[in-house]
Amino acid sequence: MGEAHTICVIGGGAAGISAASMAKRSNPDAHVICMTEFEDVAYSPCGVPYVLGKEIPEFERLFLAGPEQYVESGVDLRRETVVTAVSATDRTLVAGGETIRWDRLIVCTGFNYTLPTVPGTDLDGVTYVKNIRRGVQLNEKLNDVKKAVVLESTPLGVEMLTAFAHRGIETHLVDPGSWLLSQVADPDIAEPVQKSLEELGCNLHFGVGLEAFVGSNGKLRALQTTAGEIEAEMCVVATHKEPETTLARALGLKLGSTGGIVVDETMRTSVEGVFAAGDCVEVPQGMTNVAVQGLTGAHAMQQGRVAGANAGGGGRRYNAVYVPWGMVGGQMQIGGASFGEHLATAAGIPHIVCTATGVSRARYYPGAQLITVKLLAEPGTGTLIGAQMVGGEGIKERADFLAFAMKKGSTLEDIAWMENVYSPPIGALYEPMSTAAQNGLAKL
Amino acid sequence: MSHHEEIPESVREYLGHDKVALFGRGGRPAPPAPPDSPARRHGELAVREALEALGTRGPQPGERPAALPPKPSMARKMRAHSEQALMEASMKKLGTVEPEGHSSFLWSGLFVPFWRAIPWGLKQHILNVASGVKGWRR
Repeated sequence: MGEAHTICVIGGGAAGISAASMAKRSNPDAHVICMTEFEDVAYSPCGVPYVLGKEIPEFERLFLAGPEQYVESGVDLRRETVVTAVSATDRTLVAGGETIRWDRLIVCTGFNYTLPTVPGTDLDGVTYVKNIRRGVQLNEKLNDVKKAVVLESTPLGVEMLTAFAHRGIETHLVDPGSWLLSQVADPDIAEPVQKSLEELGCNLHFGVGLEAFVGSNGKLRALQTTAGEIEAEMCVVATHKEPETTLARALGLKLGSTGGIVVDETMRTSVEGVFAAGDCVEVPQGMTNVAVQGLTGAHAMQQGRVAGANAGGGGRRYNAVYVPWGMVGGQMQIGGASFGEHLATAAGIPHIVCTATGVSRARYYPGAQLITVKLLAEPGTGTLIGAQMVGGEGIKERADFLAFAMKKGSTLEDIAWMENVYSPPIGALYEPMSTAAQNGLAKL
Repeated sequence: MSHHEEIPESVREYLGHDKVALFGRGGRPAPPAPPDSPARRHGELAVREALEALGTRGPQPGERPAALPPKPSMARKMRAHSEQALMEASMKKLGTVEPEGHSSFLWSGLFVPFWRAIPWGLKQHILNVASGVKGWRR
């Protein structure tokens, strides 16, 4: 049994809700209070674009658990409760007008989209995709939208492009980068996804900057860009995830070079008794030790579990990240882990590149899809430093595997001679990762 | 929710706050009433009238989840500028479309060539020092 004290969690997203659950599990005697300004908890916000795109028929399916399950597990869940003040000196916070004393605090305040610094951001039609209730409202509005723009091809931006295209909306992408997903992906890997989106009818404008949202009668009418005006009734802003640190700054927590809260591997912040997790924190990238922020829901959930366990008196540790990622754009899957050629070139990391294209199932089995795997390795040693992939299926599992292989220091030699599943409906004889690595061995 | 009983039935149905949703499905929101249904029309009207009476509908959570970054620290400013310039330079090298760049000459013309010229070992050292990350297992 743990010490009886009060653990407050600010935020009810993936990090907050997992932190609260884990804190209660680690210390059943503690009074665990989880506060969120939103109406709902325990659902997948990552699923919202797929309901908007009508791949998922209803929002209800995104819920993982009802609030009553948290009540049953002993978590004092307070929805629609805004924390307006917090103090590290006397260990109190004010939420919904009530002053609450805390012994341990877990800050999971998430992110905001970076607001474009152009005129017209307050126009009706400048839209954001975040929580499910606003998603429900957006879904209704989209029934009347004929022309829409997605601002920036971040992962959410690409998902929204796909969703709009599925709904038959004339869709444009405005992106200052040179290619799709240029913050994470390589141009050759992104190209099949771009083509697929174009085949769905999306108009992709790269190397184009936003100058203003143009409206009439308070409603968005067009976007003024460096390449001219694009008519649109709606624009989904899918910019960088800026960590929400208003309360963290009030607490005096140290912020890092990404603007996120600095935490150690136990998710403790710079202030005694205060933990943090999720999109508001920064954690080191495993290969370079450079802090990164704004990762995935899976990262937020695991960080929340570590923060919650330790706030409850446990001794868990979170590891540096290699960031496996993957998503669907158009009809293609794209993903990777750690560095791509673009990021490695930008950072100045010496690397060799090896590529192979294979099939996802036995070549003769119906539905077999092409997969291109691109591996990056350290010259000389062949230590894996990154991977990028694109194909019709089977990207996620390979991204997870390669991120883990990198974490364990695997080399091209290891991957070239790896064992793999061969079963016609689910895997080909020649594994594309292995073939890419074999191609790379000659370059070492 | 104590205010639940004060909300007209038509509005509750419109917003998905019906009794089934609140008490039968563990608080999950029900889908709004179908377009053009009487419940939907009554709900929309009731909502509009109530909001007009209030003068404003007030901000809803998640309605405008966008913000300008707070005044950045020197470390953040340096990182943002250097990253932007290096990413733009890489896009120019690997891509076919010129990125819409914001980097000044100081960063694109001086910093990028300097960074490219120094050996990886020194770069690693600089990254380690500048990252501010300490005490993590690798």
